[in-house]
Amino acid sequence: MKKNVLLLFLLLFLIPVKVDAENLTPSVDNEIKIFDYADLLTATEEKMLETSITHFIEIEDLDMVIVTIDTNPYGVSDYYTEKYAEDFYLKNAYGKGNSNSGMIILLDMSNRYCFIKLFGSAVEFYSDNAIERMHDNAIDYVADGDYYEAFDSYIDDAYIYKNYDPYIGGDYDTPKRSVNLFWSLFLAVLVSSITLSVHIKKYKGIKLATNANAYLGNINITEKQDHFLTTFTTRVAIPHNNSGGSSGRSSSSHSSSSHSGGGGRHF
Amino acid sequence: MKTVDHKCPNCNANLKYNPKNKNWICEYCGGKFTLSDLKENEKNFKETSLEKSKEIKEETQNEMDEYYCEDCGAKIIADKNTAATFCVYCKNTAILKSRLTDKFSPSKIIPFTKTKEDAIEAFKQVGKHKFLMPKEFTDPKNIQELTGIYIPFWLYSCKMNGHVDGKATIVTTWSDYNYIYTKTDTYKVARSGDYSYKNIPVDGSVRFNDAIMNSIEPFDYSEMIDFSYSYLSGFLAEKYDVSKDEAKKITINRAYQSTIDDLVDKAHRGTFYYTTFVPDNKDYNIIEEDIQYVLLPVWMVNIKYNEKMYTFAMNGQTGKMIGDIPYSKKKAFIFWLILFTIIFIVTLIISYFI
Repeated sequence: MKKNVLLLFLLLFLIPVKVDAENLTPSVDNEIKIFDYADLLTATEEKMLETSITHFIEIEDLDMVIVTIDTNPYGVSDYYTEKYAEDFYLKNAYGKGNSNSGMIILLDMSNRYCFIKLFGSAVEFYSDNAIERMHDNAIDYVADGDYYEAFDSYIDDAYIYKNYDPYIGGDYDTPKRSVNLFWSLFLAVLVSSITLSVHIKKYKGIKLATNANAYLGNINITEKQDHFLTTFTTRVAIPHNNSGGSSGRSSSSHSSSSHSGGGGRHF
Repeated sequence: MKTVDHKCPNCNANLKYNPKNKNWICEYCGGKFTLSDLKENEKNFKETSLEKSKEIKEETQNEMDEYYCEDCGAKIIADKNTAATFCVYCKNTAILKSRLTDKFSPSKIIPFTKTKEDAIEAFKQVGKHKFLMPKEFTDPKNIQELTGIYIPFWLYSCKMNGHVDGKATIVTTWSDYNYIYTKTDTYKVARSGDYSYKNIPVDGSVRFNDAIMNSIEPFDYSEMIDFSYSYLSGFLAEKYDVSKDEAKKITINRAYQSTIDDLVDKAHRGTFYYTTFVPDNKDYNIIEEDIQYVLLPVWMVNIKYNEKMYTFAMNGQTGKMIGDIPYSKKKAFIFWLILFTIIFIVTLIISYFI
């Protein structure tokens, strides 16, 4: 009997027990949307950003929090920055709705890495291309030390790129610019060449005559026949996209762009 | 048996008897005559013949010279007051002069209405609206030779029946939610017609460039009158050496082209508006025809510019002047470059705002 109890006691150690890796991020009030631990912003700038973020949350129905740190309790690496971002957001129960929809923008000065993490429906709303574009637009400000302008840019872009994949949507891209250049060049060459050759053709006056239209007088039609022979009809099927259609501008984005739920940028 | 040489009432050439139709045909002007026509003509001829033949003989023998170019075989006629100093075609100056004795009998002539000064003036105006032409090209100094010459032409008239047939289609498309439909109806279509042509010209001189002569068309035949040697004074004339049959081939081809083009057009978009029409058969036959040999006035202008020779011709009646105008390659490139730059910038600006 004592042996069995000992065995049972030992077995208990074999049962896998879930151990939570410790969450080292601070506990905060999730009504506050900006945390400048690295002290990069003035009080006024913080207030203004807070207002902007609150406005975004109201309009777009997604949560947003911006955090700056200059030491990372987990360690110094991209992995730890990303971990901090996720932990901070989830620990403090940010996010709207059941899936905690929203985003966190974390500026980790210890490894000079800015990371955006998306949660819930935000993952669907922002494609990887969109996140890349948001970093593109803001990262120079961060590098220059204009932290307020940087966050302002992120917030503006959060409106623009929600549900809008820049590669497929189109307007902003430099790739389009170089395509325009090519078409302008091509068109200019084509039109100039055609105009020139049409003008030069007039310089050749001597032409052999092939018809006698100038000498034609009376015409009398003697036979007219229009006899119906056969008819046939062909048809081509029109393809309809029935693959669980998505609404909005990014209807094509789901198949050709990726959504990893965030991305980071070094500066 | 004594053979009677009949003379053509139109042009005085020797007539050939055609046993098949029992009439006489003139090889020069294509006129056809019955015996009664000739007897009538000969009666009148006999009365005035003595004086006339004297007149003609005097005219031809005293007034007209014939020049023969050994290099290219050209035969040029001029009256004794107009010396021909070079061959109009090959520029050879060693030409042999003799009296004109044999027949030179065109039936009609359009006399010159444009003068030498008109020709020079027209040449000066050649560069109008041609901004790529070097301005110095139309300087009268460049004119090497300016010759007023009556060129021999055959004028061919005919009534041609043309026929075209082939397959035509009417294509209609429409669509519903599921499909795009294309319906093709096929028809057999034919058109035939009588087309009448009057006086299609072809130059009767082997030497003269047919294309140049085509380019100064048309002449106004309402001013065409019976031939007389007196119109030749002051100008040269050339004798024809393109045979009537060769000439007919060229003019029938032009008539055929016009006829078929018109019939195809009438078949394609005449009564019904077919989407496509492909002719399978094209045919023609001549119902009536007539040909005459005439002299038409041309100013030939030979230009030398930049070591190159240019030939310009002016219609001696209407004043239409034609030639190949040279253009400066440098000016052309600059023009292209300017156009290119403008279009390039404009399209860039437009695309920036779209």
